[in-house]
Amino acid sequence: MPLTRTRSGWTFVRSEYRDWSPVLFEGDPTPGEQEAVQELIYELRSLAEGLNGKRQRMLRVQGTLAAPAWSGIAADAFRDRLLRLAQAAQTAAEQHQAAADASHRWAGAMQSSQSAADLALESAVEAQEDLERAQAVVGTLTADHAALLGLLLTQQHSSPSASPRDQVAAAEATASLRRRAGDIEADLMVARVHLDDAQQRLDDARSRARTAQNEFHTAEDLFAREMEATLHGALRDTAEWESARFTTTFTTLTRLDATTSGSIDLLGTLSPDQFAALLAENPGLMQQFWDNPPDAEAVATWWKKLSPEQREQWCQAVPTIIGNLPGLDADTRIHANMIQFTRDLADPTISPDSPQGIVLQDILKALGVNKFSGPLLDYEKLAKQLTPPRGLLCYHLHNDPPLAAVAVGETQAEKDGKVTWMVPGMNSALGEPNRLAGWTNGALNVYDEQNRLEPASAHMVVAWIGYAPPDMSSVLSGDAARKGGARLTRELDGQWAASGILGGNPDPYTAVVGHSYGTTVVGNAVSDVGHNVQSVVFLASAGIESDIRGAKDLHVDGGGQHVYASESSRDGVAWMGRDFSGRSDPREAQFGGRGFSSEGDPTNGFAPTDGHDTLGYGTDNGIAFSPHATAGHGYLNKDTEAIRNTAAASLGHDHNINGGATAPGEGAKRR
Amino acid sequence: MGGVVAVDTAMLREARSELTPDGRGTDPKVTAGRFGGGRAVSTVDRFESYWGSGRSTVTVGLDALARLLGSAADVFEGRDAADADAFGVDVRAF
Repeated sequence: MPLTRTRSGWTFVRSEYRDWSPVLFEGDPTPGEQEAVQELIYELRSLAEGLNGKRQRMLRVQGTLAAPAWSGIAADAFRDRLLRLAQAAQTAAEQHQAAADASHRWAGAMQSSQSAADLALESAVEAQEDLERAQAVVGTLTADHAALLGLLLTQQHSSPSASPRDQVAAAEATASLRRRAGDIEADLMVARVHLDDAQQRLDDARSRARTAQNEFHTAEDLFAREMEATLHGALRDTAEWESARFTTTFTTLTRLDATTSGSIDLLGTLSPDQFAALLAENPGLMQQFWDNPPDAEAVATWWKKLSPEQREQWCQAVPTIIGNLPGLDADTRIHANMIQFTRDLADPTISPDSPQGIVLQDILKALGVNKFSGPLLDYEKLAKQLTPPRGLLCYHLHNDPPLAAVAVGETQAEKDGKVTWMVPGMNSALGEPNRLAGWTNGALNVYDEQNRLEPASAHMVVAWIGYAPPDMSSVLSGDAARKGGARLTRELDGQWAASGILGGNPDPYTAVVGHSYGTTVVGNAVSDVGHNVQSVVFLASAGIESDIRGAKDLHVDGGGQHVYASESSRDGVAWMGRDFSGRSDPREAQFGGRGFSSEGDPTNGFAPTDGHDTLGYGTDNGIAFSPHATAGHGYLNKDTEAIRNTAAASLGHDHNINGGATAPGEGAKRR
Repeated sequence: MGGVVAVDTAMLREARSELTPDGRGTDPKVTAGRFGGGRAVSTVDRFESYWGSGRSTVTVGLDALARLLGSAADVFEGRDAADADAFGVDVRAF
C-alpha cells in the first residue's frame, strides 16, 4: 500500500476500487480509510486540547475572581456557575481524549485487518491465475491423452492381414503411442498436482480473507463499544446555559450587591413566584436580605401599594424574606414567619435533636402553644388567641445560631401604642432548650407591668434574639454587638416605617431595653438609627462601646432624659463585662443618662434583684464563679423593683419609677 | 446594600478577556469520513451528534459568563461613580 501524509502523520492508502471476487466477496471485506481515521484522531485530540484550554482558563478566572477581588452574592452565583462549566469542559475533554485513544486503537486494528485482507486477495489472485493455467494444462493434456488413446484403439483394431513388416511397424507405432501416452499421463499428474496446489492456495487465501474480515468486525465492535462509552457527561441543557434566565438572575443579584436600592428594586420588579425561583436558586439571598435589608421606608411604601391578595402571594412564596423584612407590619411578618415555621415543623430533614429541631420546640413553648397537639394545627391563630397574644416576629432557622423573636401583646401598638424591643446578653443564643421561651417570659413580665401602668394603651414587647449572643469566651469582644446592633438598627427603623407608613401613626413610640451584653448591642443600634427612639433602658450593662460618648450619641427623643441605667448592688457579674473589656458604664455621671433603683423596696412591696440574671432561680446565689439571682429576684421577675422601673422607664413614665430616677448626668441611683 | 460588596472591576474585565481571548469563532467539529464499516461510521456520527452539542454548550456558557462579567463591571463602575458623587456632596457639606 502506498503511504500518504495526514495531519497526524504518515499512513497507508488503499485503492478503493478493487475486485474482491477472488476471495468471494462482493465488496471490500475490511472497508475504511486509514487517512480518514487518522484525521479523526487528529480532530478528537484537537477538540480535547481546546476543551482543556477552556477549562484551564475558567479555573484561572475562578482563582483571579476569588474574594476579596469580588465578593457578594452575584460573585458566588457566578463562581458556582463557572465551576460547573469548568467541570463540564473537563469531562468533555476526557471523553474526547478517550475517543481519540479508541480511534487510535481502531486505526491499528483496521490497518492490520486490511493488510491481511489485501495479502489474501493478492494470494487469491495469484492462486486463481495458477489454477486457471493448471486447469488449461490439464485440459490440454487430457485431450492429448484421449487422442492418443483413440489412436491406440484404432491401431489395435486395424487389419490383421498386413505383412509382417507392416505388423512390426504397427507394433512400433503402438509402442510409441503408448510411450507418448505415458508421458502425457506423467505430465497430467504433475499438472493435476499444480491444479490442486493452486486450488489449495486459493482456498487458503479466501479463508484468510474471511479471517481478516472477522478480525475487522471484532475490532470494529470494540471501537463502537469504546466510543459508546464516551457518550455521557455532556451538558445537555444548552438552552439553559444561553437562556436569559441566569442572565436575569445574575443581573438582579449584581444590582442587589451594587446598589442601595437594589433589593427594593428586586421586590418591586419580580413577581412573588419569580422571587421564589430566584431564592431557590440562590439560598444565600435570604442571608443577604437579613444582613443588609432594603430601606425600611421603601419597603413599607412598596407594601402599602399591594392588594391583600398580592400580599398573601408574597407571604406564601417567600415567607423567609417577608417575615424578616424591616418596614413591614408585625401582623404581616408574624403571618409569613408562621407559614415558614409550619413548613419547617413538617420538614422530615430537621432532626429534633439538632439546633434547628430544638429551636422549633423552643418557639412552640415561647408562643405558648406547645401544649396543643394534633394534625394541621393553626399555631398562628392559637398563639394570637392567647392573653396576651403572641407571634413570631423574626425567624431565621438556618442561621448559625438560629435567630428569632417573639412579639408579646397587641400588634395594634404599632399604630397607636408603644413597642418595646428587648435584647438579651451572654449565653442566650438559640439552639439550647428554653432560650427563647425564657426570654419571652421576661418580655411577658414587662408587658404585664406596662399594662398595669398604662392600661388604656396597646403594648407590644418583642423578645428579640435576632443576633448571635456571645458566650463567656467572646463576651469581651464587641464583634457580636456590632453585628447584632446593625440588624437591630434596621429593625428599629423598620418598626418606625411600619408604624408611620403602614399604620398611619404620626408619632411611633419605640423603647429599647437591653440586659448585660444586650446593652452593648442596644448602644450600638440606637447610636445608628435613622429615626429617634423614645426610651432606652440599660439593665446590668456589660458596657457601652467607648466610641459612643454617652447619651448624647444615642438617637433618643429628649436625649439623656430618656436614657436609663440600673444595676443591682448584688449583681456580681456586670462589672466584669465592663472592666475587662474597657467598655463604659452607662450609670456613670459623664454618660449623661439617668439611674433608677433595682435594690428592692419592701415598703412598697417591690422585691430586690439579687444577682445578674433576668429571671432568678433556686434558693441561693450559686458559687463564687457562677453566681446567679435567686428565684423571683432577677431583673425581669415579677414584683421586683427592677421590672417596675424598667416598665415605667420604657413607657417614659418617670412618675411611675419607684423612688424616682436621677436627673440626667447625676449617674446611678443607689438606694 | 451599597458599599457592602468588594469588587475590582479591572479584574472583572481582565477575566472577561481571559474567558474569550479570541472572541467567538466557529466551533470545530469532527469531519465525516470513511472510518471503517457502517458500524464505525455510525458510531462516529453518534459521537459527534452527542458531543457536538456538549461542546457548543461549553462555548455558549463561556461566552455568556464572559458577557456577564462585562455587565457586572459596568454596574459596579456605575455604583462607584455614584458613590464618588455622593462623597463630593459630603465634602461640600463639611
